[in-house]
Amino acid sequence: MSATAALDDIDTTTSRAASEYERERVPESALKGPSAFWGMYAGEHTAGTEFMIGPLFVAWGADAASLIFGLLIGNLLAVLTWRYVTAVIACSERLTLYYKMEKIAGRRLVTLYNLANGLLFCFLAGSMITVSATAVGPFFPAGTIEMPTFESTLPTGAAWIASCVVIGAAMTLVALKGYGVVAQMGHYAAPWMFLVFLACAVVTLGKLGTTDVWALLTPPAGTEQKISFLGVVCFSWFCNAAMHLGMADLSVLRFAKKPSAGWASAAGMFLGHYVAWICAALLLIYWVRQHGVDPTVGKDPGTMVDDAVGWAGLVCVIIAGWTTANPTIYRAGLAFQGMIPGISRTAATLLAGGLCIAAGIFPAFAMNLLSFVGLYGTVLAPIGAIIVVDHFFADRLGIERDPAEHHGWSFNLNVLVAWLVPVAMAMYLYRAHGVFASYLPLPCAVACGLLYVLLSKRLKAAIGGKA
Amino acid sequence: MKTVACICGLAALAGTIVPPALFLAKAMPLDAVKQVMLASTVVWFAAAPFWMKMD
Repeated sequence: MSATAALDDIDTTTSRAASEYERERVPESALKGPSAFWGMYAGEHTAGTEFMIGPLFVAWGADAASLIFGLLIGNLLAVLTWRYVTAVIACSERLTLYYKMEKIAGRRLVTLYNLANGLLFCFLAGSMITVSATAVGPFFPAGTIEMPTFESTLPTGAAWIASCVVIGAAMTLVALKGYGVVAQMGHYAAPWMFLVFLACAVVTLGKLGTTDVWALLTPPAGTEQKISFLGVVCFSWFCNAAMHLGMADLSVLRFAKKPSAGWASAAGMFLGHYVAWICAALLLIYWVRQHGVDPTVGKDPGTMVDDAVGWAGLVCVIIAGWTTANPTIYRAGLAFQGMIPGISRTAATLLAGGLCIAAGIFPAFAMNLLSFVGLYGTVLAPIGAIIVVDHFFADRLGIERDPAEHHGWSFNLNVLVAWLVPVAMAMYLYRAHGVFASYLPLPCAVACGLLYVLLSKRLKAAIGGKA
Repeated sequence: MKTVACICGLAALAGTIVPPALFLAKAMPLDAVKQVMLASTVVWFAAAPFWMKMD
């Protein structure tokens, strides 16, 4: 899972970004064919966190049907959302999420959105630092660095903290230089990384002496199933909800010649979020079957990958985490720069990097990725629903399009209320009733859209009454 | 140069996935798989910048 593309929007808060056409429609001359998007999506969705998500499915007792068919359905739904919602709006409006939101919600409210975005990205980058740090352990004598397990919430020791600080600091220092080099590195690494994931699975099958993947993915009788078929479908559909339903990928797809470029997301979903997750799941299954590891406790990605394919795998774990965490830190820094008047980009990036390192030191974030990405989508996807209403339904429902632009508002209270009320209710359901986080983005987005329509109609009636 | 890089790159990708397949077929020991994969990694990152240069 990756956030690089979505983060493009944060750039615009400071007007220092390299992205083009931030406050205008992308012209015809700048449009790109579909091939530009296939490679990008394939690379961006094969990240270090995939090494955590596959094993976490095993830890949560997901069965073979859920992993083979549930992931297939969920990823297909994600691709369809990209194709028929995000790409359609992107090719029609040809604006960044930031600029479109500014037209609807006003500049100050978009700044608030960017703060939420920036903080969530820090936690996501922290998870990537955690995953990368697990690849450091095998380079040292056994026991030098105590690796975290799925149950770990606190740092496992001074050596672990040092690993996270060194890796996080290196990422932050590179982020200070901009992320062009790392973006290139990620581009080069993508095909090789995918094959390393595949190699891990093939070696694991060889070690287990079987190619019956269905049987391997079937948990032993009596395993507590913490995630259902529907849970796996919703997780794979909404783990990138911020990008498709939340419209962050308007930044990317606005350059597409046709909405059919949205199909390119299939490369990321089916290589990164289907094949790579299942490959990573097989790694833990091997350790459970051959070494008696408790699946609920798990095994760190670094040790599993080193055991399967050696140093090439460790390099893959580090690079997969690094290439996705680095731009995340950079963009989060830009978001904070937009928040704090007078702060330099260097200081803002250091602040973001510090937060990411702090989050990375605590394994709780990485070990709870299945919940975290659901919450991430729950908070950010509703904003996309407001854009969907504005684009598809505003004229039909008789509400104003781009109201903040027309009235010169810097803060559209309707948007804030429509966004925060469903999100607050979703957080209550998650905290108080233990609802699985990936069930929340869709109802939250629908509620946000409906509330926005009601509030906009009420406002229009009030303005009409005064007139 | 690009042709050479392309051939090296493709060979490196093959060196990343073929040895595990040979291990699965019990035709190659795991230690050799790991060594070939590491060598392929080095070759890949040397060749890819010349082959896959970003626009």
